[in-house]
Amino acid sequence: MIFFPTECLLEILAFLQKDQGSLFSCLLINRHWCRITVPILWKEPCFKKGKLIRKFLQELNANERKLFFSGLNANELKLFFSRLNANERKLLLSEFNAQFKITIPSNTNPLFEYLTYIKKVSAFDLDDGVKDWLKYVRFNNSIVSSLIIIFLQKCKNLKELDLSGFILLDDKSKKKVLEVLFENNALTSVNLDFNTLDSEIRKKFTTSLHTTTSLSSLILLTNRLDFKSVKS
Amino acid sequence: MDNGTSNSASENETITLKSCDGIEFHIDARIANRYTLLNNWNGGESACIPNVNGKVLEKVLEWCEHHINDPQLNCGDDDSRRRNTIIEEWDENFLSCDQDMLFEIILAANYLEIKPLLDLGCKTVANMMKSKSPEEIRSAFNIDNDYTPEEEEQFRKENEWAEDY
Repeated sequence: MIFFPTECLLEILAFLQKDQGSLFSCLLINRHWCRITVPILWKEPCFKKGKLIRKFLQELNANERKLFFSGLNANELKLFFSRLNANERKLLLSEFNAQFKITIPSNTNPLFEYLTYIKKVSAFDLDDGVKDWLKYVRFNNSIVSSLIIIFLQKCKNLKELDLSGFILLDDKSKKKVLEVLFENNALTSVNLDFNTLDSEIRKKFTTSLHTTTSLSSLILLTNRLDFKSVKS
Repeated sequence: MDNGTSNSASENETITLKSCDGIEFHIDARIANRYTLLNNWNGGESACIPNVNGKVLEKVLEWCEHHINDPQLNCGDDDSRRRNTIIEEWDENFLSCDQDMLFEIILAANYLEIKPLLDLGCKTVANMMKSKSPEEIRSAFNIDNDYTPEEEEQFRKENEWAEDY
């Protein structure tokens, strides 16, 4: 039997970074391979599939799930739950609304803290993933904004946030996303692209740029920063 | 691109390397200039490269000689390097040796810090694993499974989203 030293196995598996199906196989080979594969598989998981969005929500704790739901209004919530299957509903509802009083069997603890390995997320992919999951588009935007907020707070090693190709429609959720974004001190790359910031947010954003230490790439395109007002 | 690395050695200069089983190789000094670690064992009467036997060292040096005029790699850009999974024909033939030799070459390239050869070997192994099931990979590389059935099942479930990508 061959035993590859960790450093060699890392090099080999890095070539499969974009091939999640093959990484899935590698993860199931044995414990040694698993430890090395999990961080690679979860580094930039492709959220275009509904299955992964669902998995993501399952990994959240009760508070984080509450936060996710708080991003949706009453109508959207109703719609959201109507799109879930029985199992998903059981899993997600109990923490959301006490009136359902469903006790769920406590999950076995996951073997890894998968979400801590995520380094990059794109709103465009999330949008596709939510569509793929719920087969419904009308309130996608709120769900995606809610997800982004969770990503920013939960995924401690998130480095890149890409909002290109996705426009935050609702002003309230846009504001919330940006607020959380300002508070995050780990991101190194943010792409805001077509999300136009109003003057108040712009001012806040410009100010927070003064204090951020990690950001090395910021793409604004349609936006202008407001250094003038920061100065005064 | 590689100015400064080749000017200290002319074409006729050779250095001597010895494998761990005592086989001597006289190689173009420019090779040792490219891969600095090789220089450490240059010309030593008694010094030999530990961990690398003659058969493997011969292959490694054959590869180095063939690629002596390649442009030097840009270090640090890991992602773009790894996105490229194409393998040149000469390299493919070179590595279509038996599996043990392939693994020995990877270990030697890692040990001797010959990065492009390490990449090539790793890429070859990665390509061998593409679209295979766990069982197929285990039997192809003769790897033992130390999971308990419950554990394996839990991992399968927890990462099941990746399965049919």
